[in-house]
Amino acid sequence: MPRGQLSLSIIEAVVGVVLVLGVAAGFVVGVSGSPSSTPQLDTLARDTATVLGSEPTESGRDSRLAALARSDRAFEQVRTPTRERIERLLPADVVFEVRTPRGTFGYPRSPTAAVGSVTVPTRYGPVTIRVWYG
Amino acid sequence: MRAQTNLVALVLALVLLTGATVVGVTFADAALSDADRDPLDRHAATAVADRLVAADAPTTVRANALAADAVGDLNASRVETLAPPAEGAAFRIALDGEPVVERGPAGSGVTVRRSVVVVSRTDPIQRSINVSRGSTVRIPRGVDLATVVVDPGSNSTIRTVRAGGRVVLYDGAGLDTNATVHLSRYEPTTVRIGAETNATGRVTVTYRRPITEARTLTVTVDA
Repeated sequence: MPRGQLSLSIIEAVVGVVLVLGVAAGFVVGVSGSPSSTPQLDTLARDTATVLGSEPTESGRDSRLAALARSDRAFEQVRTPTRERIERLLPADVVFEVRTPRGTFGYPRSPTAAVGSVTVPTRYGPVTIRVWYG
Repeated sequence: MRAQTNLVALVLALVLLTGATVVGVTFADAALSDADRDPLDRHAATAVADRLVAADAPTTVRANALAADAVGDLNASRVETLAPPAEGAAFRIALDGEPVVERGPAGSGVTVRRSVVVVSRTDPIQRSINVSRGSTVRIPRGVDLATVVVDPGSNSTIRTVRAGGRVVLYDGAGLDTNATVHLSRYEPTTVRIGAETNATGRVTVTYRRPITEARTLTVTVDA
């Protein structure tokens, strides 16, 4: 046995490690992953957009969602009532952010959270609603 | 000397293998505990919630807007008809924590939450149009349905009823009817009568103002 050659036990061990890790990888790949919270959050975001998109504003002829994107003045007018509406719509542990071509409002986003989002086209531009567990 | 080298190698090999096994078992355990053990429950809960808030469901007036009276009439068999995945399962449907329908203990099931509004309606509000004076009726924003009763006086003809400039009822030979008309919810509507001059009669417009309340719908199903 020339010097420098790996010991047979080490080679056996490496083969064993590969085998064990192979079985473990089978579990990781084969078992369906946990139901992530993102589909649930996406559903809540879509629900919020649906409700806001089918609700008339106090004045004007648009839905709340379209009024947010229409003009800077409409955005300012509708922002506060819409914020209160969304707070009441979403469950207490879910917070939100709304992005429109006229501006953004809602909660500051925590960078690690899983986010559900929906983008709704309106005739004045897209409105995005993002929700996450706060 | 050789035997000792082999011994070191053997110990190293055993340590390696044990380490790998521990890591592998940890992985497998984490994967199993994270796995969705109740895909049927989740599917059923999602299906029931989807059907309850769908735009064409008997419980809603439009998408995500539940009709308060339809929700009040809901019971277990209606839920089953609406969403077959709930058949034979224990489930609980609640609005903001207040149970709407409950069958069996569904505590360990999967819960799905949806944001909805509940639409209830006020008592009917009746407004009359004096045909001979050509008056109009203004219906506030948000009202989507109104009942119009046209009762022309003797020897007079009322041909058209307009809501916000749109013709909603017309009869060339004269209207004498009781009809439900759809209105735009996004702006106030003015109801106006098109009648010949000197016509008499009575037109009443009846509507119920909707009150919407934001709620969270929770559906828990334990199959």
